[in-house]
Amino acid sequence: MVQIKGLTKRYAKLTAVDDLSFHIARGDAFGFIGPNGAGKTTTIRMLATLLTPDEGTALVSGHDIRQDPESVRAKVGYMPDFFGLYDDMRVWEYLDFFGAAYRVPASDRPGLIDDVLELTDLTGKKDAYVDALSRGMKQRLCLAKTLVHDPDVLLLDEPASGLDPRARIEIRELLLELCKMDKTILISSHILTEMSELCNKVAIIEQGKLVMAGAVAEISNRLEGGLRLVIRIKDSLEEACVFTANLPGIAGVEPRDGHLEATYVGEPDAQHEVLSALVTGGFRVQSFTEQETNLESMYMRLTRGVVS
Amino acid sequence: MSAATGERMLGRLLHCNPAVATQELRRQMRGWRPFASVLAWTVLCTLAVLTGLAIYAINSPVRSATYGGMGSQEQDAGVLAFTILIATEMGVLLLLVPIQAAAAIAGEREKQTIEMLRATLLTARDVVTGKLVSSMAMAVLLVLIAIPVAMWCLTLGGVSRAVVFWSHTYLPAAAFWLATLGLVFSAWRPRSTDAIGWTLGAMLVIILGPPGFHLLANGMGMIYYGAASDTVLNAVLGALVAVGAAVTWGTLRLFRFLYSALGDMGWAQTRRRAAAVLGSIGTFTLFWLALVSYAFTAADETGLLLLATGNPVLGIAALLSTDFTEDILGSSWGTWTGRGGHGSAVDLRWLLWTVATGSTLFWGCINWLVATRVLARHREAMQ
Repeated sequence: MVQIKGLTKRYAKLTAVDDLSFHIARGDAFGFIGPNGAGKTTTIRMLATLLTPDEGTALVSGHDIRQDPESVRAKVGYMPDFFGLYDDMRVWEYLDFFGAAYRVPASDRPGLIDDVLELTDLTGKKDAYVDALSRGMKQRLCLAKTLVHDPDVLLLDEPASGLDPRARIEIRELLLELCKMDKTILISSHILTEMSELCNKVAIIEQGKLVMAGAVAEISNRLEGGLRLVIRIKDSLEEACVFTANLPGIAGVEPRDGHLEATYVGEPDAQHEVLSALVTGGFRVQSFTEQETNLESMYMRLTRGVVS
Repeated sequence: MSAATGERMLGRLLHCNPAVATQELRRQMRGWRPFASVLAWTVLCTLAVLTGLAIYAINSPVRSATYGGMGSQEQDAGVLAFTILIATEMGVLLLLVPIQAAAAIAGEREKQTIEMLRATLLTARDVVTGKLVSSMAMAVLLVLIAIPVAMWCLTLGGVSRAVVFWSHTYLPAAAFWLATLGLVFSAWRPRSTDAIGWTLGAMLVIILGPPGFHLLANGMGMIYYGAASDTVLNAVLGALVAVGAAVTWGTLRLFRFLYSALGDMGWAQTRRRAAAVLGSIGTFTLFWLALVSYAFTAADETGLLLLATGNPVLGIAALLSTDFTEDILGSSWGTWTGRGGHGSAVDLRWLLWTVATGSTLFWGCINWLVATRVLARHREAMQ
């Protein structure tokens, strides 16, 4: 759905985005992570056709951002990190204006506006002035605006920044709903815990360069050198440790606080064989799980906190 | 008529996406403010006429000056009242329209709404035209409201229906010129205060520059008649007016060139920008001054070309002042029509109205084109 090839953007001597390439498939919720000044916003602006790349290009829904920006804009819903609203307009007027700006026929707009208001839980505020909305509601209204022309791809730059916990959760729930609707979402955020709950894939960027991209578990595997298994065993922990280390597919085992942490490098679907071997070996296995991927620790390991 | 039908009709009329125009009109005409403005304006127009009558009563009798070639000394009261009314209308337009237009696009940038606007399917032309409609809407409404008050002056005598028609059709053309000038700077500058400053500065140069330079040149003895043949002067002036549009475009190119050239010299951004702006504006101003100095040098023969600069204050002054009309057009009109001497004042003013309105609209269109190009080209700088 979005294919980025060697995207580069320079501002005088500063290279904000440097030869960036990755791919986002249809229906992906793709997290774009990096420190401030890493080039996330510049990349998103280039995808929204607001900036022209100096080198490279990107295809959005099959349209080239350089060759055919108008077609790209028709397919993209863009929400900037900082935005203003027309405070003296009513909520429905605001959405109607953007519907008209995206050339949605006037006869179709009332129905579409009702739909996006329902989706963003703003139906009760349809006739309210934008000025009277809370910060969280304004954020949701902006998201509603990006949906009014039914785009395939959503480019969301820090959609939950500056919101209180409740408003953040509401935005997250809304984004999860959009994922179910098969929208392709590229979302940049600093709130890594939410990104790990929301996104099936991430790209980590620093100083304009791509550090790593892919499924969260896949990146974790690459970082850890394999899948981390957490095995809780009743008694004989040291024996179990030696036994597990000799099993096929296990690259290493460490005993930790009453459980074992094993690095599994075998076939992804054959983890059950490790469990079977332990049970057959007479060990009383209390739990056998994959270690939850910690995006924060991954992020800290991959980035150096350097900005462009 | 439903809102959808109105929007469709507006789109057909403007030949563009009417989203911005519809939104702006909706916001502008909302609440009590437009009604209060209309009421205040009606009171102001009435006061203008009453002021004319009061001045006449205090200073009567004044020198006879009638419009339309008819009337007598008793009709001076109507002429004075009408002149003050038109001056009030023009004064309000000179302040209201360019300031509103200059804040239109730059204000979007300030409010951080421009980025979302430009991510839609709206083109630079859609945005500029929409903002133009909103900037002109109130101005046109005010001119329309002033017409019944102007009709009152008809009953006072000395003012013909033709002059009411000429002036009140010229004023919307002047509003168009002023709005598009404001939009040029609004499309270019990042802040609305900045854009307003530039617009008012440009207005001063264009409107006050010609008479100012004329006075200065006369004072310094730089202009003397007979220095060159009228034919040569006319040819030069004609050529200058013909390429005037290219100069506006050339100024922008010059700015870009200077900016990049000074960049190669390693100047800091602020100094580079200031030097490029001063260089471009300086060149542009010199061109205008040269153009106008030629026009004044051969005033008798080239009055129409002077009006062709599109200066709205000169335009309305020409339509209202009999002396001015005869001064700048008398001999040339007589020569062209073969009547010898001076043509009739009514005939002259029809010609004046055509040239003044046409040239003001022409320069307004040039401004509109420049604003559209600036907005389209400064896409990245807008954020």
